[in-house]
Amino acid sequence: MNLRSKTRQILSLLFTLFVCLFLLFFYSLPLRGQKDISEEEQRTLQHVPSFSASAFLSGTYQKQAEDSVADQLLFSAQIKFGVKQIQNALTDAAAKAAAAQKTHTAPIPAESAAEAEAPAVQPHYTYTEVAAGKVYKLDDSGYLVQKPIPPDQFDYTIYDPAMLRRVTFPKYLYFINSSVSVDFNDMKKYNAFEYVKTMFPGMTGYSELTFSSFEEYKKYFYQTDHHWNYNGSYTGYTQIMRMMEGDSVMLLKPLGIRIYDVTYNGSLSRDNLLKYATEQFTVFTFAVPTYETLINDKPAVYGRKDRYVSSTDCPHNTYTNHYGLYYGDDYGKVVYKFNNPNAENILILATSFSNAINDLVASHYNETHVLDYRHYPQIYGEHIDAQSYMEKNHLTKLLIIGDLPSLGFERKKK
Amino acid sequence: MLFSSLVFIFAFLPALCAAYYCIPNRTYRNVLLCVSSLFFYAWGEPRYIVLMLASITVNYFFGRGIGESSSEAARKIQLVLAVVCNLAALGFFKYSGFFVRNVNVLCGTAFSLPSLPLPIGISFYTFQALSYIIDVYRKKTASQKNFLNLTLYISLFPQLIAGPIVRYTDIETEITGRCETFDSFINGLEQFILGLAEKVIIANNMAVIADGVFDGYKDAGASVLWIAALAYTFQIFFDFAGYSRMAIGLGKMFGFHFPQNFNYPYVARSVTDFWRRWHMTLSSWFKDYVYIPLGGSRCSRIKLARNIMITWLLTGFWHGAEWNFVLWGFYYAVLLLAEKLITGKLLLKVPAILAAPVTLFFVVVGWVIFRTTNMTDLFAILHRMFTPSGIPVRQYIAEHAAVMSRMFFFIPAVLALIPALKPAYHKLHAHTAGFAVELVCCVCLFAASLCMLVASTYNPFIYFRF
Repeated sequence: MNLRSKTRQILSLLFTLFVCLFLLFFYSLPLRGQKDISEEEQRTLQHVPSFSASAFLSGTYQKQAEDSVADQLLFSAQIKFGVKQIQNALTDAAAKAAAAQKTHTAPIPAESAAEAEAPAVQPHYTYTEVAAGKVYKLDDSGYLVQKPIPPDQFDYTIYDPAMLRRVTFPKYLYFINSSVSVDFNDMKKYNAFEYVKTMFPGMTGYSELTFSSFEEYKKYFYQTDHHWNYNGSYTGYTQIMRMMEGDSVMLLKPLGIRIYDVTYNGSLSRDNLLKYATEQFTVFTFAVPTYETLINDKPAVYGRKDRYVSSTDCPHNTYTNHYGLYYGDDYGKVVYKFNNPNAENILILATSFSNAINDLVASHYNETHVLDYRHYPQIYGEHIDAQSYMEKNHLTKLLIIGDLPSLGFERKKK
Repeated sequence: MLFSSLVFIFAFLPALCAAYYCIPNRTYRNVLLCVSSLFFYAWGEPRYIVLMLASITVNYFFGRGIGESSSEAARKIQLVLAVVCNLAALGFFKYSGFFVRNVNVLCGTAFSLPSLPLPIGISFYTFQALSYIIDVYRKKTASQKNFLNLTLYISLFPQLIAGPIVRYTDIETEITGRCETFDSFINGLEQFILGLAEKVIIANNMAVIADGVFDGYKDAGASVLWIAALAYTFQIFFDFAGYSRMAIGLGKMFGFHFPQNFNYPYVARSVTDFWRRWHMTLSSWFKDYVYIPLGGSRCSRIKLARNIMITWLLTGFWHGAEWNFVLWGFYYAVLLLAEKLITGKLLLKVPAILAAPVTLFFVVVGWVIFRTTNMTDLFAILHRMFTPSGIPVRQYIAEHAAVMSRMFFFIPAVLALIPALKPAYHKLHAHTAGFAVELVCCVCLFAASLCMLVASTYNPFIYFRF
């Protein structure tokens, strides 16, 4: 063997070794142990499954095995983060290149009385996609929003219409307009609330959180999270209570506003690893009377407001879900007990939007049960049947809270 | 299991390589390959392993029957029975739903069939089995006496689920007498990595554009639809050619030499030339087992038209049980007929630099037909592609920046499609320093592909939807 072939052989060997080195990313698992959760993805990680013939035949073994390799690979989270950053940078570059020649129609200042009376020119916002089909930037506002979806593109079967019809107690619907239900370039385009009302007929009362411009939207919603912010949720609370108890209801008033010096990546930013899209986390503080909570029937503290005494106390990890941590996470059932024996007991059917106001609303009642349809069936093995649940638990009012995706399943585009 | 899955890369392949090269005996190595191939197949759909074994058994006995019969009539009967058995299985699993649907529409009936998933790779392994049976009948090869060897030929995992369609004669000798060398192993590994990169880095990113635009085509204007059509043109090539390259590479790692399946098809100077370069093993299969038996091109013009039409309608139908595939086959039949009867000689005089873009235009339109199974959508897309419509490109890109940002991957896609770079690659390969660069590039591509594969599993808890 001559020197040239020898060198090539050595190079080939080195090449094989390098390729094998990558395999160690997985085969080092016995040394480092399996990870249980991913903080970045906020989910439980799949462990390497043990083989069984029945699992193999049903295909579950294969699915678990595929997931486990991706989840347990060394540096898996870092790799995902890195690739996502590159994709985000490419998206940004494409958006910037496209925006370079964008024509922007800004409002024209009125110079005369006649012009002042003419209808104002609507600002035209460009929705610039930052995560495929999910999240958009609205011009240079710094706000991340979702793309509007016509309300007739949802199937309103999250709460079985027949199940709701059976409810004989007073029932109320509070609809939250969000960026999903409004086109900021044509605020009157969808009128989602009117459509939703027809999908939930026979309610005792209807109310909505609404806004007439993007500027007003900014008052109610986070910059990087799809949820309503402290102001939006408080407005929601006041409107809900007036809908259910009339205008004379005594509402809790905020004691003050607290701004935490944390870099908050809201859900729209966090779920797409848009690290740059951050904001401060701000809350109203209230003097809520003492209460107890049960989570899935076990006594537990709901929400970790105790960890948010000051900016230094609260968690500072990247991508911390402050909304979920501060107000409380999503569970099948959360029960609030306020020891108001003369007050009614109510049922709330809602998703995470209600987390921010559960205690405020519940403070007006004796017992408040909050059920989340996404988790309730898994915990209790049955779908929510409001009438029988209310009868069984002596609840006398039903409140449904949600935006479009919390009330209906989006139909597939195809 | 897919070659581009993490389980394949991190578990199946390394385990198989280690076990294979620990076994010195050829027969045991073949047993290992057989068992691994069946496991590989069962990974996707365990129940259909029975169907595959039944297909192997039927073809084994018919093959032996045909090979050992002295009577021509008996050979012919067995050939017909074997072809019927193979096509019946293919027809039942792949086409019965299509026929029932169409009968219901035409006759207003309401027949229903249990909805069975399509057995993975059935089109490929059925065609391989058919080529074996027909070649034995034609006495091009002797029938295989050893059941294990025939099982290995039909089920060999590298070419099992997406080709290339390997003829029995291609690897007959290698089943029992192949020679595995370190050089061919390394070359195979390189090919595998290059194929993986084509699939994961280019095809998957092209798919984001094609899927994103075509799924919401009503928002897109003509220019954007053409960009998406081009993206799909790249996607299908790098997906399929990448997979074929991985298959060829894997074959080499275990001492097999599979035929080439693609040869720079997008620089073809005519549609005829395109089909000499695209999915070559399928084209040659149809040519040898359908077109030539029908009479080929050495016949009258009417018969030629008939032969081309039958061959291409079958080719289209082989790709899928939907009308768009039939239309796609018809589209190519018409183009090929036009070339054979009208423009053929003229095309030879046109410089390649002019002829290739024209051919590519027809190919791109063909891929749009191929991709869109819903006929209403198909005609709407084609109409929009040829009429000015929709929002301006820049606005579309801004509103779909995450999707359209993948246009950056057009650059490596175009570079990989230039045949002029091939001699440079060979030159590089010949020098030791160049070889080292080549291997370093391969390692980098492997790392990049793995990163993209891992990143594709990014799956945040979709709290955000609510």
